[in-house]
Amino acid sequence: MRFLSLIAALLAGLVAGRGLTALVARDGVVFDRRQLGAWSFAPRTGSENIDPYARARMLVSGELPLANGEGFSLVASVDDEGEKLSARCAYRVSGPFPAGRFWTLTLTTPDGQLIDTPLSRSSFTSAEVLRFAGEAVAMEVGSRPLAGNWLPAPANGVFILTLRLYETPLSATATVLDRTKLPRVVRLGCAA
Amino acid sequence: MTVFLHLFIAFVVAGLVHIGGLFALPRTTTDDVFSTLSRSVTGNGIMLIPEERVRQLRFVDPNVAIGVCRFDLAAGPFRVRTGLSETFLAVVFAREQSGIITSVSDRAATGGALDVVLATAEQLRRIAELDESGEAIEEIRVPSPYRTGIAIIKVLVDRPSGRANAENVLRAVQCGSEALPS
Repeated sequence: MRFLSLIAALLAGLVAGRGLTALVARDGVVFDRRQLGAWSFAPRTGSENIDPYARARMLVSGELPLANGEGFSLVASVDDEGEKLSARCAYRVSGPFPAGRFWTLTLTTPDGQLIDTPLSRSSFTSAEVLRFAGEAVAMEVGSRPLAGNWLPAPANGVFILTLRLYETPLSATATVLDRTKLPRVVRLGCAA
Repeated sequence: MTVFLHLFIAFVVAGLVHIGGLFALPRTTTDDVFSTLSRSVTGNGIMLIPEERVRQLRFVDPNVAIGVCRFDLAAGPFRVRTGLSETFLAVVFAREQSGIITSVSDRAATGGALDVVLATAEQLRRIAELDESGEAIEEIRVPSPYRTGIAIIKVLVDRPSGRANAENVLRAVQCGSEALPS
């Protein structure tokens, strides 16, 4: 009896250990990401000093991260109020954008795949976004056409936005990042 | 008492299996983006990744054009020489099943070109010995702790009409091993 329960304990440990590894490789762990308002980021992903958890998540997700020498990327899966970005709602992403040579804003599924959307547009770059005199840069995200810089969202489900800053003075660990220097992601309204 | 002992054993085993699995994962994965890009390279020189293929990669910026070269430092230091883009260009050295080793952006370019040499510490010492004193060194020398891997050359496409130019910059990239004189 005692032998059987020892075997059961070993098996339980084996299954739990494997399950935990698969879980953190898929979803990451809290301590390898930081959150600032709607935006989250993982320092050191683009260098050799990446931690084992971030490395596992990067390899399993198939992500091609920005190298430290290229720039820095931030991901928003929620709006400024912490609600998941949903195709039912429309959002405005508006400045300020951190200093850098270029930035791009890309809409994907939560697992990083581009979405076929009207106009074949899945992103904006800082060079092509329309700017209006006296106003901060703004992009409208939603599944229905919106005035301004419209970034079409999928017809249903949830999505994420990735802001990539190329050649930015932000350090690799982004210790100087503060919420007020990042664009806001404001929900404009939702379909009933 | 036995129950607590068995619970403790289960926790210890779970912890060991978790840590072991985490460190073994890079050796067992083959679907990571670096392995995928490496497999797409056929032959020597740069392989331009078609736009449709770039768009299929996950968590990738669709506003980049990508070219890939494979390196093996056993054949000598590896040189990447590229002209510049009007937008942004970077050379990223990475390793399959592992991740990014290092990167150099076009900010380091001199004389209208970016010339990067990747080499082992030993090869870098030999290169330094061969340098002629007083001569300006215009190439960027980067040490690599690994013998093999890939160089990913990325050019930012700042607007759709710029893709052809970005891909032309990539097609002109020269990359390959250079044997050192003995």
